[in-house]
Amino acid sequence: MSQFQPLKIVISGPVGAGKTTFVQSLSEIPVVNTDEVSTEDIGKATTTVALDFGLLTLDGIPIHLFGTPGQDRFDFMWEVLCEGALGLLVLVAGDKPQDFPHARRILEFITSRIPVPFLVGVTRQDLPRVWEPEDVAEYFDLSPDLVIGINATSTTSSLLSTVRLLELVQAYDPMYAESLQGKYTFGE
Amino acid sequence: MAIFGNLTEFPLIEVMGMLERRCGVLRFNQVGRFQSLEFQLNNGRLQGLVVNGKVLRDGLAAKDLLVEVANQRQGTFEFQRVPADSGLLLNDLAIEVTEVLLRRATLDDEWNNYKDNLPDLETRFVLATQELIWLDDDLQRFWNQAEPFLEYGINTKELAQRLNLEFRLVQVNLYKLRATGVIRPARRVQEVADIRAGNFPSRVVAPVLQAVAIEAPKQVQSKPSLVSRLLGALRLIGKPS
Repeated sequence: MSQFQPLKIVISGPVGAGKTTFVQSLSEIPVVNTDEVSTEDIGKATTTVALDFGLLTLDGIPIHLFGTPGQDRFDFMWEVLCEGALGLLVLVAGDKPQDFPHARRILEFITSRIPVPFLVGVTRQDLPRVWEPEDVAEYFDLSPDLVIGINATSTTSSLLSTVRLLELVQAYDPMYAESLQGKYTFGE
Repeated sequence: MAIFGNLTEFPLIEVMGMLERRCGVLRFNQVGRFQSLEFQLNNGRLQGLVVNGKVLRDGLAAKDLLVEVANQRQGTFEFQRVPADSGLLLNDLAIEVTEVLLRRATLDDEWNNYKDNLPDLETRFVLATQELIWLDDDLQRFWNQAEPFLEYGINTKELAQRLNLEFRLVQVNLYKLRATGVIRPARRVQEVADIRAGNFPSRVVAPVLQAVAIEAPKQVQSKPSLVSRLLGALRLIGKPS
């Protein structure tokens, strides 16, 4: 058993941004998800209604990966999940600008109230007609270094974005993970 | 390079805010009674307008058209960058687009027009600039009242309560101030980092931010931090074997 308490990374964003796929790309256990058949037209057959849960162990330190539900009516989950999180990754599909206002709303709701290091990932960068990360940064009013392109289906790309997020955590406070030890407990 | 979308999701005021420092052509399709529109923009200024393939040179008519388009929530747009010195842009007009868009209709109209883009009532905003920009009379009055609170960061709910104003009015005005770059959403993580670094956000440090900053661990450890260990492990995974 690890001598460390688990840390937590939260992956949020609108429906269809690639949150479940991202967690699946990184998790070393089968992802626990709560997908249900959509009761409204959201462009896909099933959607996450509570959360996705995956586990990544790095140097003996367990990291819990939580994917939040994308629909607005589950917005109470965003804040609950982000309390005590090591970092937040907000995903948005670069070919679906219609989802940007919702993604911005999620990001601003969380980050204006909770001091959690964050990164925005623009997915589907392989498509020909897609917003580039620097343009998305402009729309979100963010510095370009806080927005990166991601291919959520690729483990390498998902790992690289995790590295970027942890670099931001380190720049924020090198001892941030230590300060969270004991603040977040799960499954004990 | 593509900036594209639909006016359903991006009100014109936001599109223009985003393109404020860019130069190029913003093309619209099927907006209200217009089949095609071309805004030729240079750093927030409309300097050419092409309506259904014909150049419009009348400044007053151009301003009316801007307001008409701002009231439309249907139609697609796409922006194409064009270098300012390329000679490809018209130079018939000199209209500050944001100024025109800030002169708008009643609160009901505005709230209904922007409701899907308005910030959450609990999103906190702070000042983004000390520069004075042009605001219409109503917005200027609101700004005068709200500015001291925005200096420390405040959300719509609290501000409506402090100023004794209807929350919809506060929500719309904050949205407009944000679109013009006067305010921006607070980033708690940055505020805490600034305080730790001794860069206080305004004249006085808000007590709540101080409290968060004080909680931060101060001890210096000789062994690698957890985050460095995580990064080290991730980089090892990323290396080809």
